[in-house]
Amino acid sequence: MAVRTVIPFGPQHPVLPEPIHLKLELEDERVVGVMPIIGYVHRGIEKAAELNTFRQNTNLFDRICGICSFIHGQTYCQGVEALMGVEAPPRARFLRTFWSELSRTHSHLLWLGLLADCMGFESLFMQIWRAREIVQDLSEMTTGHRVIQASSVVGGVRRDIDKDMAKEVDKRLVALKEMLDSTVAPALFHDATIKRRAVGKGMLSKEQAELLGAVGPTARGSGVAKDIRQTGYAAFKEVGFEPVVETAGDSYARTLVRARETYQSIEIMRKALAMMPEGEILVRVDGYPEGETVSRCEQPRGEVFYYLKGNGTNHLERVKVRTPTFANVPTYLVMLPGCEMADVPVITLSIDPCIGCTER
Amino acid sequence: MKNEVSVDKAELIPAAKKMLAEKARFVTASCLDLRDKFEVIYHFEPRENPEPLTHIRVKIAKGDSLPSISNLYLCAALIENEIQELFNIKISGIALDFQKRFLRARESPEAELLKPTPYVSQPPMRLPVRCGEACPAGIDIPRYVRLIGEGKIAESLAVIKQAMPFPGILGRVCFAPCEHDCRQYKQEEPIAIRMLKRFAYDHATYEEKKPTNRSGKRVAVIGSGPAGLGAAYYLAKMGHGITVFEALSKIGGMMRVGIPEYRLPRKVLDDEINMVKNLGVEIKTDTKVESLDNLFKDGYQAVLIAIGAHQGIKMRVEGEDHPKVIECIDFLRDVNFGRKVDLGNRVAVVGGGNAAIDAARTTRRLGAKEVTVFYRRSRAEMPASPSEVEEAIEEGVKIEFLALPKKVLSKNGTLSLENFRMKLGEPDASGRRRADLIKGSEFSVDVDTIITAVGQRPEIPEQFELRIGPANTIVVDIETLATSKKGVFAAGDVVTGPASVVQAIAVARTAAIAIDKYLGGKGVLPIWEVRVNEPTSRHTFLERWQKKDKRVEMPRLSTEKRLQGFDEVELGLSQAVAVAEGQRCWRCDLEE
Amino acid sequence: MRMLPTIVKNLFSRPVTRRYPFKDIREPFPGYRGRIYWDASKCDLCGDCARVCPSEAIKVSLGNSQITYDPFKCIYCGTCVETCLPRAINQDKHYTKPAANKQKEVITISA
Repeated sequence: MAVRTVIPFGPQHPVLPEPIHLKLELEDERVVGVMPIIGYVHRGIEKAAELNTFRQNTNLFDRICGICSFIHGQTYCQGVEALMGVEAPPRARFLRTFWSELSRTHSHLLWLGLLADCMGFESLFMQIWRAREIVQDLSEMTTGHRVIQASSVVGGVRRDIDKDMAKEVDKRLVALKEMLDSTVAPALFHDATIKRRAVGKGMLSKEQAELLGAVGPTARGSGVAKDIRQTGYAAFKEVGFEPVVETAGDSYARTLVRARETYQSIEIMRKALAMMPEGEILVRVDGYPEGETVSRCEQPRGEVFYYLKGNGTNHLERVKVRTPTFANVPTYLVMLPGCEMADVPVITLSIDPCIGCTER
Repeated sequence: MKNEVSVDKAELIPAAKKMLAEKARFVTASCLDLRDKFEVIYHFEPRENPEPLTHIRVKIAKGDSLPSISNLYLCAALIENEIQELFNIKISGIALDFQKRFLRARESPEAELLKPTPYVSQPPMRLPVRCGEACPAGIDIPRYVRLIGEGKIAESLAVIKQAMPFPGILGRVCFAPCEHDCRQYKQEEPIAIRMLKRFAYDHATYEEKKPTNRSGKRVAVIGSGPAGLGAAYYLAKMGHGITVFEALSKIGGMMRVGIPEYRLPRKVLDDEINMVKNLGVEIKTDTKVESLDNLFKDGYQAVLIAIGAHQGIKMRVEGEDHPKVIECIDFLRDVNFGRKVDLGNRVAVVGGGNAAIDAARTTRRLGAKEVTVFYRRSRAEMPASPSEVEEAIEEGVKIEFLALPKKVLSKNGTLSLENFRMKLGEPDASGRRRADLIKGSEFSVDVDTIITAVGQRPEIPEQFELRIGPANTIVVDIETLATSKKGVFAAGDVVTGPASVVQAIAVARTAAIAIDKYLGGKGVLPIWEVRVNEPTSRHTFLERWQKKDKRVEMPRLSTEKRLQGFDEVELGLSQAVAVAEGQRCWRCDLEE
Repeated sequence: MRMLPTIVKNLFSRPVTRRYPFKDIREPFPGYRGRIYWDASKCDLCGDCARVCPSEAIKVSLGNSQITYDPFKCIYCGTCVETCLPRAINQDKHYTKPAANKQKEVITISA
């Protein structure tokens, strides 16, 4: 006779890096039902955004999340620039591309380390985070802080990367690539233990991914070839971009997508630095925003969506943020039922939850 | 936004079904609080291309409920739960209904729903600025400096004229309290606001709009100084008939007889006076007003007294009744009327204000070889403008600090001025350090003429029968400037004692409003808006990278040319220099 | 067996970690957004920094000629540094040290 129990998984759990709350309905050792509940870290950011001026909001939105920080700021600034009819100068667009890919590298390396950690592979976790230190040093060198870049402002960027710094950055990116080749690549692509724990777990078919509105590597791991970077915001049109797609639909496929995207990001960063044109990095923005607009960018976890409405005053009337994890959480409803309880951490982690973003 | 469609509540489900049939992806739903109703916008992404998005907008009244689309799109359940909880909207039929426990645990206390902040569309804000508050006339200083910095000289002149009628005069003689309050003063580079005002006057013209309707009332203004002419200008603009009575044979008051020609060229003064005359103001010279009642009998309904302070204060030392001890204002008046004054070679001027320096520089131009100014305190306490003192020293005027006259002796036609040596003591009530006598320190200087410039006071005829206050000034009500006699107002130096041209013009405006109200009008000055395309925010971040400039230097005549006559000493700025100076302004009135 | 070369190599190489805070402390890169400090001789109490600050960590009191700065509310974004026109605010590359109680800094501005 099967015994059904309901256990809470999270928000505080040793294996979980993010405070997500899942109510798992278990029958012996199998998961038969799941109810995701979010709201543990709701801070009321959208309301706080109404009380700041539209220039001060950049600082607020940079701090919705720590690892996707720059892209939040970039999306907001792109939206306000669209509202006010201002075009960021070309050099600023390239710099924004550079920093958003830096954010992506940082996030994917962090996630790969966490995946190794939740499988119990502590030494790989430490090695990957050692590679992440190089990324954080790059961030500190170019923007002034290891985690929160805070470089994007309405009208461009705040800091420049001059030629000497660009050479130094390139050197370190090459060192990063070598470190990844020696630690991440043999483990992820060839290790049998990781494959046994991730292959076949958390299946998400292509139709399910499209119906549930999954975005980012969660969808691309199931064969949906959609990436907002294809629309060519910032400098992606000049740099050129193709999304990385896998078709298997399980946790291992999502892991492979992220690992390959890390390599792709390093290439994009080096290309963006080499192709950066001369010019100014900030353009004058005068007046107050008025109207409505929608702004989307590709965060490490998927597509982030900003809806901005201005009414001609110094404050924006409404800013609505929909982060990618918010769209990926419904996939738990099909991924988790049917798996064993020991697989729950790996599957939960495979969509790369970022609950700070989700519950702004 | 592109591609949006507004639907009613009932059409929401069919529209969502259409999206599902096209296999569009549900992105999210945004909810807005529009004061009296809510608006929910559903965003969908088409299947093939990421752009353009489709937006479906639904408006519902507060308290109404919305059907859920989560039976079609399961992923919409999350956002609908959040909208239900955050905005208190009832959404019926959600597939995964958390019953308002989405963002809250079972035990958490009830939270209050915050009301939306009421925003009203408003024009860009302008902050209060130190230079604007320092100006007694209330000129919009940051705006006109900014307009010069953008090359819009005519608009800049229009902005100055909005607040003050005589930019030509003030551009040359104002003592500029605004420059002292400029925020760049701490780094010794205040913006040259007065020079820019003069530049605007010299390089642009302004069309004065004549008053359209006449009120039929007549006002008499006694005295054609800055206060009198300013009040005449404003009252004429409000439609009254003005007659200005001037006792001397030339118009201008202290501006003509007190300020020398090398500071204020007569052409500029005459141009400004003609501007006032063109508004229909009648100015009668050589007419001394003896009795106020006669004016009322002649048909004037109100009288403004603006006779200024022209009587010199005596030094109160022994021997000052000698004919070669002349009073400064009398001396300057004689010079400005072209009368010859015999000074000899050595002149002593007693006093430390602008009048004393003006007298000293004038005597140098009339041929005096040795001119010495005697002042009882030191340079830091001198009330004269520092640039005037500097120019005087350049022209060869010597200044003897810490010297107070004790008595005047005369022997065979030469005067001898005996002085005490002073030392500085504790600060007095005005903040300046007091001067204390050093006993037994007398020293004498031989001179041919002594000019006394220790202060002025008004000279008010007794038959006016007005209440007189301290220092022989007229007592007036602070707000209405009304004297003790009905229908008689007073403004300018005659009320405050000797002050400055800009303060007289500022109080003339108050007087004009008060007189208009007394005559039955509304007391509203006609103001014409200056509409120009100008920026609304600063641009500190970009400008911080530019090189910092220094304050502009006014080109001046060389010392030899200056002493040859009474030509204007300051030559004026060129366009490029003035525009660069205008761009140096920090624009403290704009928001960041 | 395939692991043996890796084991031997790791046995004889030095650790990668830094012995913070005893030795091997890395200096922050120049341009790091650290401590905010005022130059009292240049400030003229205009209040721009207080208006722009996103977290309201600066309070300017014109009457007392004082600036109250809360280093624990500050988010070290550097916006006040960019806004100050007389360049009285500067940012150091060393971060604010942790403290036992949240104390605000009061800077008196000379005239």
